[in-house]
Amino acid sequence: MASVARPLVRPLYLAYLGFILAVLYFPFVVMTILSFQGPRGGHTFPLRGVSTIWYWKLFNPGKLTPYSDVGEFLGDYLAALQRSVVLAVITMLISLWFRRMDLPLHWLTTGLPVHVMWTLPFSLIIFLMFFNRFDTSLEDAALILGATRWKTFRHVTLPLMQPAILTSLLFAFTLSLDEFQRSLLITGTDQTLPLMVMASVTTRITPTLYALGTLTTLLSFAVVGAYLVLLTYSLRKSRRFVEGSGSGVK
Amino acid sequence: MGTPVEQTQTPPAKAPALEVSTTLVVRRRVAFLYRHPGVASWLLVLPGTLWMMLFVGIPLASIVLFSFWRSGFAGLVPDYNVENYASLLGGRTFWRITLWTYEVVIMSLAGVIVLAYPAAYAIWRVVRDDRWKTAVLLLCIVPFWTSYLTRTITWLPMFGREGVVNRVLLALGVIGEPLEILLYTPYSMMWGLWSLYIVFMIGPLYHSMTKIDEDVMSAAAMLGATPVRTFFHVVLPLTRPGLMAGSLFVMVLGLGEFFTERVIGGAQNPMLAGLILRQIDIFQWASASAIAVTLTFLTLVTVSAMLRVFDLRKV
Repeated sequence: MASVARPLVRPLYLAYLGFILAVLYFPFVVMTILSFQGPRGGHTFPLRGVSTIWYWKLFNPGKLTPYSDVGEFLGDYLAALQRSVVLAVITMLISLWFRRMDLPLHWLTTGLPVHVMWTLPFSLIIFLMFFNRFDTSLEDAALILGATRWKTFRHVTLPLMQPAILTSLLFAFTLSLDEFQRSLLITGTDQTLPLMVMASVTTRITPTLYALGTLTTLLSFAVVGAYLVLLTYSLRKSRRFVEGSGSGVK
Repeated sequence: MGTPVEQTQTPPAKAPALEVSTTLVVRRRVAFLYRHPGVASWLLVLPGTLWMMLFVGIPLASIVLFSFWRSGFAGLVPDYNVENYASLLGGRTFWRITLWTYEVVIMSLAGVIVLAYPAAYAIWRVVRDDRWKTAVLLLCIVPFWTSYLTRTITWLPMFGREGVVNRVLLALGVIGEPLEILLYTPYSMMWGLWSLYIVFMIGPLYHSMTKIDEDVMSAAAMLGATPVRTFFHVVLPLTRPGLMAGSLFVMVLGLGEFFTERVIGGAQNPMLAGLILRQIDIFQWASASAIAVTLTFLTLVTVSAMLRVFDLRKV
């Protein structure tokens, strides 16, 4: 770290990193504020009062009065979920084909294949990137030392692949979640995507969108927090196990 | 497709080590695969290939088919002709839009590279603790778990005429009247794309930076290279896989971009994907298919050209 640790460069880099993060999170501040928009307000400023009505509407799509009991709410919510997992943006082209085949729109028939189709190439690129720096002599060493093929894979290749697997999971998750929300926002099965886009751009944007965004971000933070705790735990474990191989930081 | 597989192939010399205690049929069959790595790699590639064939190949084939049909009042009419392509490729609009699309994508790629390198470098070298590195990296990714649609729409209250930025600048007295350039201009679209794509560059770059051997960095420092020199002669060449992967992401995502252009760009200058939507809006399914086929072809050409410049499968 010696070359970078000069007095001025370090804060400069950290400030830049802070700037990038600030730019990335600025929309979320705005989003959170606007999600508490009053019932008569729109999707932009000014705020017309403060309310939580948009959160309520998020969970009660198409309902004008509150539910009488939880069962009714759950049933409606699940039905909405099932109905709404429609084709995502990239599947705009595929939708033509699916329509012809008359497949029932369900996440297993149309959702899953489309999501895998959409994320697979990205994961593939991550793995390609990883394997071009892969040191095969480690596998050779394991084989020479008498490990079976399976053991070599299980105890040498797989652990070495772990960062790549994590990275590709992260990317696939990011892309897929994005698509999922996009299709979640399309309520009703017969709306084609362009109609949805047109509608959402012109008339249908309500602060419900921001409510969803705010909740997703909170959930994401929870997931990331949990992941960091797990990571700390596993780092501690692996540090006990082996010292100083691989990533070479300190 | 072939490469993830190669590492499980046996170098021929080591094959005997495996056969020490193999009497079971299964083991023999497995051993057969090791002796014929070609067969093994085909088998390993098979599931992914089949999946993609089924869910990309067939829809794509049908789009190609539709592009030779005709749009009727009730949908597509199987009336084979090349009219769609003739009017598409013959008109000037298409070529202007294609040029514009590439302009936008290349500009966004260049911007993202310039913005992402220092960020990835900072996470890699300047943030000290491993846990903090992961935390910062995840912090960069979390915004992308919220729908791209939502994030894009949030630009309206942020940068609109009455938006947060304009109000703050007005209140501070920096500007006399609201800035019009912040929304519905090509510039605003560019900033939007940068902020949308940056994580797809930071991630791969950081990943390939962590693969750089610490000794190489110390060697550069010891031999008296300035940080700038170290960057251009050590870090940059060694992070080329990450740079390439990130560029592929941005390129492919950018070529399919339509929403940012519509919302932030003000729907003034459609890109190719936007053109498809505009055709669907007016129920021209056949010509939309023709544009889709052309866009797919252009994307293929672009990606293979990029892989030609730097093959991800080789070091």
